[in-house]
Amino acid sequence: MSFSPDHENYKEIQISPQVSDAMRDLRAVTGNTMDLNIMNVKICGVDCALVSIEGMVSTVSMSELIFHPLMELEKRGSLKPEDIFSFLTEKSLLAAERKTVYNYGNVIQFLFSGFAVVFIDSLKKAVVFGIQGYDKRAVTIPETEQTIRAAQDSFTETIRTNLSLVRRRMKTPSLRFEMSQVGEISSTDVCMLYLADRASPEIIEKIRSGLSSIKLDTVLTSGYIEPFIDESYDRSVFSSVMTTERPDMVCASLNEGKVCVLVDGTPFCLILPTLFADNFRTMDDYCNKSFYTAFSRWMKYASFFLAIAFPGLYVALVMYHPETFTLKLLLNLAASEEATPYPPVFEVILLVVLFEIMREAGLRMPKAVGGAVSIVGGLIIGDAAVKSGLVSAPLLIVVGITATASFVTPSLYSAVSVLRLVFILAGGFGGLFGLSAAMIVLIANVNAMNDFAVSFTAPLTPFFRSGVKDMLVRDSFKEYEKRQATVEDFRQG
Amino acid sequence: MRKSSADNIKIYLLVTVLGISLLFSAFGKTANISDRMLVHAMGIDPSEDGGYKVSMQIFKSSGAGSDTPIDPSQPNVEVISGEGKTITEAIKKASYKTGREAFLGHLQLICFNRDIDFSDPEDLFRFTLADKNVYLGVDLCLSETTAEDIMNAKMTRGATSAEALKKIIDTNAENSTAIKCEMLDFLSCVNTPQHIAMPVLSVEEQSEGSEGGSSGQQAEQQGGQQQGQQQEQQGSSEQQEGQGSSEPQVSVSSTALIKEGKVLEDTLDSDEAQGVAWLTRRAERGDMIVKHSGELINVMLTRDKIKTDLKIKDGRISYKADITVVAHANKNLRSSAESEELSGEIADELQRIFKAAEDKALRKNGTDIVGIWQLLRHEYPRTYIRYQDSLDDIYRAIDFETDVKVRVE
Amino acid sequence: MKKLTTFQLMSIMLCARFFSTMTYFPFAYENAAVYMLGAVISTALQALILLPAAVFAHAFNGEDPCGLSASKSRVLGYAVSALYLVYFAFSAFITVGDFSYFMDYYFTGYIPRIMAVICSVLAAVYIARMKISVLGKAAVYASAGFIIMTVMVVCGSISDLYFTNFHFAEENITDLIFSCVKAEFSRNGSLVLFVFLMSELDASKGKKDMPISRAAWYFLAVKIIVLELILFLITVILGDYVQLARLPFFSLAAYSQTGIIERFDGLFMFVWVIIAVVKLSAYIFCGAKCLRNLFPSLSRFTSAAAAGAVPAAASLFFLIPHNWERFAYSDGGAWQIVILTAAVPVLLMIICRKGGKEKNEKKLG
Repeated sequence: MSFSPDHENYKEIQISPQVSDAMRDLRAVTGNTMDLNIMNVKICGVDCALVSIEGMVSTVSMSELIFHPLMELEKRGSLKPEDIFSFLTEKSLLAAERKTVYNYGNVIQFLFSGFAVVFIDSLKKAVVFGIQGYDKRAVTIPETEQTIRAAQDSFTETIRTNLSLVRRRMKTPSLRFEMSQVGEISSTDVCMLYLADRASPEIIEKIRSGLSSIKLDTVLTSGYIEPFIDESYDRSVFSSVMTTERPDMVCASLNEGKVCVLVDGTPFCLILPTLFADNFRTMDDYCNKSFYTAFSRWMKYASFFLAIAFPGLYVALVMYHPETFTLKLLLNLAASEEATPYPPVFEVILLVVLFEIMREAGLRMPKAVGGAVSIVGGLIIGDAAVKSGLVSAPLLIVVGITATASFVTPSLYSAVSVLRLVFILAGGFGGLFGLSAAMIVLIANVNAMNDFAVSFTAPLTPFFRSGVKDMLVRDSFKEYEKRQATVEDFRQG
Repeated sequence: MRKSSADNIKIYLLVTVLGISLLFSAFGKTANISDRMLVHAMGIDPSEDGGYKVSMQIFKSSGAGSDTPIDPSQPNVEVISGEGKTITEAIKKASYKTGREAFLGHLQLICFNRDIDFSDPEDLFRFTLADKNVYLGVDLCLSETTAEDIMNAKMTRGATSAEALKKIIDTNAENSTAIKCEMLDFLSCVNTPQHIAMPVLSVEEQSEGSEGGSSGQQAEQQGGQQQGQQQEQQGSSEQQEGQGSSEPQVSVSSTALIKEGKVLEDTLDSDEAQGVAWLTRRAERGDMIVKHSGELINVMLTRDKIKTDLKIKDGRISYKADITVVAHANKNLRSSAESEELSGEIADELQRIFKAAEDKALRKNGTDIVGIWQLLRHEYPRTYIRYQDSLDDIYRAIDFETDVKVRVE
Repeated sequence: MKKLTTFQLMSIMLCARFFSTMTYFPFAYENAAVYMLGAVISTALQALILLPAAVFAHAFNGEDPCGLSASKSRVLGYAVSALYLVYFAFSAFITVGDFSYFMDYYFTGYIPRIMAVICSVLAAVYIARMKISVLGKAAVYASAGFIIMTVMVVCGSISDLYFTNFHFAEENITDLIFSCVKAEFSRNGSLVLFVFLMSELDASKGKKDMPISRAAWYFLAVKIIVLELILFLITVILGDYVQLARLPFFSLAAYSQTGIIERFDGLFMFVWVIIAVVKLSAYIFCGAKCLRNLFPSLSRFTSAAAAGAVPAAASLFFLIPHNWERFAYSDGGAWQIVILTAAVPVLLMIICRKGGKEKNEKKLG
């Protein structure tokens, strides 16, 4: 039975043996899209067609690797279609990647991935050649995770480039890449990376099944994937899936038995399962001496606490427990609050919201006007708000410190922003009682994260001696020589 | 394992209700710091109708604007007063005058009139026991005249006037010229013998007309031209006022003795207070003048070791204090013999002040501010139980011995 | 799969005890030094009554009394579960009531009792409906917070020690010691928590020396050390003022001072609220588990909500008309602890020993 496939029914339909029919089917499936290039040619008396998508293939490669050898073949006189197929698939090396496809689904998949497809008359199959030539961004320095002494390259939107960045750092055969496609319409390439001798098979299987369960139409960023592989996605403030654009961070995570997921079209790689303490590590930790690493790591822990709790604590103490302050500090605060119209809790919320607006504007706006916004922001929030009596100066210091501290751990920024507001409201309306109630609920929420049987708060609770020192101050490299802790050590049950 | 959506809804509902409960936990009442009256010092005098008159120094910012909330060259206090049958009522009436709630969390000093009845500390300090904000270490003192006079003594040293008052007491206590008394010490006498030593403050008015102008000039150098001009105007207006009323000088004139609720007539002078300070192990350092080779030498003493002990032997109670101090004289000592001589003279002087303290406090007035009853209770509990209602007999009969060692450096 | 570690169970027990230490001190016992002696004797007695529980744990491989009795007979299972349910419900009632009473009385006048009850119970139900490991981990943090707070309070007040405040000058010292022993003993509902939660322990250590009971021994050791330290400091720093203070430990925290932090009562309150919620969660968790034993169709959420709502409502009945003093200052609870910690396990050992042996033999076979 033969019928013309269309864009909805084409995946399982076998390729027509006649080249002209196959071309007709292709045009029908693609709706005669203008970027579909079909070159009909006779090779040794056999009708063939070379199909590609404009802009996706490298014309130089196509010319050198396909056109030229095929034209050389012409010198052999007449050949059978099978002979031509055999030449293309077995007796020549025309491209680094070469596959045989049997249905239009695979043809479309490869065509839109930048492959060139060769159809041969009277054969119900075609050959695809990987000669991608689409424009891609060069490897640049990481935008969101900058370091001083660590590597300065980052992932790009092209998955294969990203895979090569990882492969050349981990020259071990146990490094496995499992590619699959997700997205009913987008068929986005998604690749699972892991070290076969480190990662837990259960974790790998869970992630694999999570990826295969995705029924979305399009998968355009790694964020689309997260809800399907993060077990506590909708129940927890924090995420046990970390994202990174650094290949060295991915390699370090792979070495710890974690599984990474790369998504084509986004430079951010997902790493799971992660621990809470992983958010406070950077690659610079492994470039400096232990004492400095310990210092900077504790600065990060302190910054995290400042970022979420400092404004709420300030508001709670000023409004409900002013006896905690030293006398002079309290007098300054009292004098500053004397002239402001609103209670401290509303002032803090106002400032925090203003800061978030400024931050969002800074992210979205064109770089050309960035300077103007900085000036306006500094003037509005900094000087004029205080001089007009809208907010008090000490509050500005509090919010300023909080805002700066929240950028120390960018991976936690989203959680920190929300938690900060929660603690401000809890402290502002309930004092230290509200603050502690909110804190214990947050602690419970974090402790409940147990994705892939790995506690998010490990190695602190439950206590694992092997990992605690590394969490607090970074192990020495001699310890790493003896034994590298993996997430498998922190699995329970 | 993914939870069902029904479970998730329940959890979200629970968290939402908790959040709303926390938001409304105070039923929307917010206590703004500007709604509080920050009380730094309090003076308590008896009122004419048998109640109490309370004078309070409260914080009043004298700053030049939001850039400088507190001007340390100003007292930054305002004095308000109220009368009532109880101290709590008097405080409330005073607070009504300001329209703010009294905040006693940073109360630093409570000054009493000598005529106040101290026999029931729990009743007297009910206003602090009910308010958990009040710090147990609040300094207590007596006033030579009235407590209100002390409160009206506005000084410009420190951030507030009360801070200056507290520092005066602290400095005297650190140098052992007075015995400090905290509220905790007083409240500890609820069911135990009450023997309290408390510093007595007195106010001396002093004319300081020129100082008002100089403070304005200093402010001009500090603050910037515009602010300086404002303060210079303020300073000059104070100068005009200063020729009439002045920056008062407050000092610790003596240390009073309180026994069974009454302030005794006898007080301890600075030497006797120093003696008590050493005997009670409160002294860290002290000063004295000794006559050495015909000249008066200032000696600074620092504590090395103090051990006190109580023994009952052959039916007699003896109290012994072994005190070792290190002495630094403001004279070059040329030989070890001279050092030893000076050491002996210092020891003799210390013995003299210990004797003076013992005679006045213990023998004459029966006030055990040295803590003999505590030692007795600690070391001989059964004896204490037997004699706890007649401790005065013990004080009269006790053998008091002090052994002083001085190391001159 | 057992999810609680020994350290976590010990932390839960410590939180339950620390809440009592922080909340209420029997001020009627004027002499903290006598109370120290009473506490040591009481702890020794607690170690004694824990022996049957330790033997029980070893004999039945950490099974809890409810589970074991249910395996023997359904009626017996229901009876034991009901007994523990009543105790945990009452303990939750006392905990939430004490928390609200002292919160209102001592810490702030802005939060009414009803809101303190509602907020604390909601937070506790949120935690109790989750797995026990969540509570265990939270208890570890709460205990650590308590220890850190205590160290800070000690450092801030250590310059004001007067050892002469320490004395035993009491007329009826024997009666007083006995009262102190009873008072201290009645504040150790943690022992019942141990007996009930030992089935949740990860007992896979494989050691022969009763690893399950290690949590209880560690608890007793840490508890007595911390309690004695706090009592000692209260005595030598606050002296006879303790007679006036309803919350002497709070008063000590308020009195201690450093150059940076004027006083530690704010920190005290912060830690106190967290510990209160952890303790309440523990009792609600245990009550919910008993409820599920009695009514297996109940979900975790519903059973936790019921186990929290009933004691909360009951406590409001006394809190709102300001009638809580009868519970706040009572010394009841000692005999219940003895029954549930020692008597019930002993009884079950007698009843179930034979059945347990057969079961073990079947497993080996």
